[in-house]
Amino acid sequence: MWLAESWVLLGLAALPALWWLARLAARRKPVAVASTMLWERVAAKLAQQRSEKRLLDPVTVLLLAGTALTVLAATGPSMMSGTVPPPPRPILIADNSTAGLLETPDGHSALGLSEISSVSEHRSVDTPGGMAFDPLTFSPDINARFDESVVDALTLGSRDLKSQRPLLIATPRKLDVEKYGAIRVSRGADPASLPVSAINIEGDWLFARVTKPDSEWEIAEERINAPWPVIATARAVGYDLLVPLPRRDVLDKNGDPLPPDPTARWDLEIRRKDARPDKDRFWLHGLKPVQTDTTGMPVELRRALNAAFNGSAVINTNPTPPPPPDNPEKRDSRFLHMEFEYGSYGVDEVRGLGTHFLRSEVVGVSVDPASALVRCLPAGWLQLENIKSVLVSDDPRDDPPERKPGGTGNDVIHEWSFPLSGPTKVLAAAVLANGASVPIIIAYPSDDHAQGMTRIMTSLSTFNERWFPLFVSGACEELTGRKLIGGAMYTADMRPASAYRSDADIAPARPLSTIYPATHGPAPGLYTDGVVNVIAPAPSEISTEDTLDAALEKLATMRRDYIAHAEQQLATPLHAIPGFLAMACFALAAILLTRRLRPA
Amino acid sequence: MLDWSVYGRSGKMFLRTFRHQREQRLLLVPDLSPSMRFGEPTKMAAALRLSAALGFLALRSGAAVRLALESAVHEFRGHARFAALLDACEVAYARAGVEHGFSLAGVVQSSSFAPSTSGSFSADAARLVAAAGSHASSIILSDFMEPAENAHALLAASPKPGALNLICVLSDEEREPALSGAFQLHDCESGARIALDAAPEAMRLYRVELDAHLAAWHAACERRTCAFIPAASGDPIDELILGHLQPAGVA
Repeated sequence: MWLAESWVLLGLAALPALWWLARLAARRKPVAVASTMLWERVAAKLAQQRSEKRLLDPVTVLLLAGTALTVLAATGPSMMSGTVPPPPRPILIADNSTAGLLETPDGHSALGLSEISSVSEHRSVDTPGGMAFDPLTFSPDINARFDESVVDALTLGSRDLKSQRPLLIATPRKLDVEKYGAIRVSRGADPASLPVSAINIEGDWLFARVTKPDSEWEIAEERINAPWPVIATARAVGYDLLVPLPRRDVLDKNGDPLPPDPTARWDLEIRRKDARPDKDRFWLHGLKPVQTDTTGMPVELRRALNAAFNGSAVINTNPTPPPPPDNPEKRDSRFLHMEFEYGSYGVDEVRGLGTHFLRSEVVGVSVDPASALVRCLPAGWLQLENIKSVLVSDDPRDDPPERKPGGTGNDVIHEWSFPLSGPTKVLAAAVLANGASVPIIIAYPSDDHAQGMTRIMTSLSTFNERWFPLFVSGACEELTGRKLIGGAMYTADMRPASAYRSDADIAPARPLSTIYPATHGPAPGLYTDGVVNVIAPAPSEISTEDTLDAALEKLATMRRDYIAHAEQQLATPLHAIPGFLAMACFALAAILLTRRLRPA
Repeated sequence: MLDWSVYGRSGKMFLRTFRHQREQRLLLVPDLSPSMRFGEPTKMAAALRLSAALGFLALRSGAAVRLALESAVHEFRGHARFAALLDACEVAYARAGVEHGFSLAGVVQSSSFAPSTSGSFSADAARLVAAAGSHASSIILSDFMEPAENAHALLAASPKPGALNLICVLSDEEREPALSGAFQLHDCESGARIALDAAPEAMRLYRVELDAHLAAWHAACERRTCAFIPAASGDPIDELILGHLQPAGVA
């Protein structure tokens, strides 16, 4: 402390000396001259020149004003209000759970997006089911391949987009837009050609990043053979739209929700109020949970299924005997019956593949049982019997191809090029084995051949493996078009209405543009006004006090996860600085230009 | 008048006519104000030296020379009086504070030298020119560092066109100032002070102003058929007389 004070005292003592030095430096040298008459004129002219330099002539003032007005007109009032519109970017749909796919907005040309880009490019176009991914963690090498495939797909997509249409990206994970350069893909695209730049379903809430700020939106419900009535309206707050989805719960006399109707489904059209024909709208298709009969399911497996299905699957614990396999017509086609066999195939029979393996059989009446047998093994080794695209067999009678210890199914697919002939659906998934993510690929006959598939027989070595529900979920989705994991109940189709030829076209078996819920978000019914700016704090009209903190926490989580990149574009004074700098540069240029144009 | 002696010798009558012979007079008015004490050599030395030379030429041609020094006017007739004229110049220069003769020049800060009574050298010179009469020629030697408007009164004092000639003596420092840096300029006559940064632009403007000032005096003299001859204080006398004054009809 004393040191600081001494410095202050020293500074005070040095002030007179500094003042004297300053005076000395500023002192002018006296010079006697015969006459100052001419020098007076010189000084007067110099003063006049300096005053002219300071003076802004009317031309400069006009240029300055024009520049300022031009900049303001170009940036709009958003610059003044501190917000900037989001840059043109492709549709980005964060899919936390399954299929990753690139698709142009018209829905016709699609590029598969998976860690197997060489396959997905060929297959996903003809396979509406596309490729599915494990929602859980990927291994680093798969992450790397996935990154490459994303880049490849974006590159292909940008090449394909000669008309500069934005891309619709459905990805099993949130894409780092900046990292993948997705913005470059959409460069030059008309941002107003798509209604939203991001969609997220949180519980019963739809969050959307709209492309037109403060726009009015309508939610219309599908009616058969009737115009879709508008059941709700909402206004976007800035570029953020939060719409409560209609509750579908049916309450009993006590007000408790009844079990969901397995046959119920609903379809919503969400459109801008000033929507153009076949534009500025998208559709949301809701599917209800699948009822699952798990006869003979062990307790731990049931728990795993419950956890995996997030309560969306109704698991019958009562031993309701399923219809006999030889009489499948009596079955409810909407039910998925699963039977499990344990230990049919020993671990040791799978050569060198570790202790975990999985065998599944899909049995259908319309398909030769032998041909419908699908065996899925860890690391992507699988066999399709009676189908030429046999990759590998765990049947000792077959001659297994070369196996790469530690390799993945991608290696095999790459080497064998996966020449699926005939109608086939491919499901890419991943399982967790011993804590590590292992990709698996499941191949089924196509829809026509799978219509009769009503049973999956699965063999697995360990029941309490976490990957089992994932596999089952993926299989169920492929067979039924419904996603079970994470309570996913929504599909969104971004195609214009004219793209639909019939009601069958909007069947839920088109997951290419599916959006999926995350496991967090505001609880249904929390908000009363229906529209909440997801960036702004949640409104105070939260009626459920006991879940307020949780809802706020979820909302904050959602902000971080889904709108992080949008927040970077949001208004802060820093974002306005470039505008002001540009204005200053223009003004300076105008002044210099005026000075140069002035005659000497 | 009939010339009888010629008639007696030749028998022819010749009529002898006479014209009244008028004495040629030259008025020299060197500026001895403090502003003339600048330069190397000083403008005052150059003006007095030139006055002595012009007086010598006038005396040799039989003209009477009137030299106005300070408030007194000294008159000299006959070339024998040149020494007295030179002495008067030396005395005047010595009174101005210059220690040596004309060859030496220095900046003199003496305050004993009385400034002009009217505050304007051209006004004093105009009175002298007017008092010199219609048959006298006048030569004013000064730096003419005063507004060109004062030239009209001075030239109007001349009784006839062409009888008044102005020799503008400037020092080299005035013609091409070599200042640099920040200065506080002090006028030795008026005491005015000007703060000035001797930037190149200021030097350029000074030269422009000096040319304009000399041009204004020159134009005023031309309108009165008078000669305005600029001269440098360091120019040799013979070169000045033969190169500038004689072609202009002054010498």
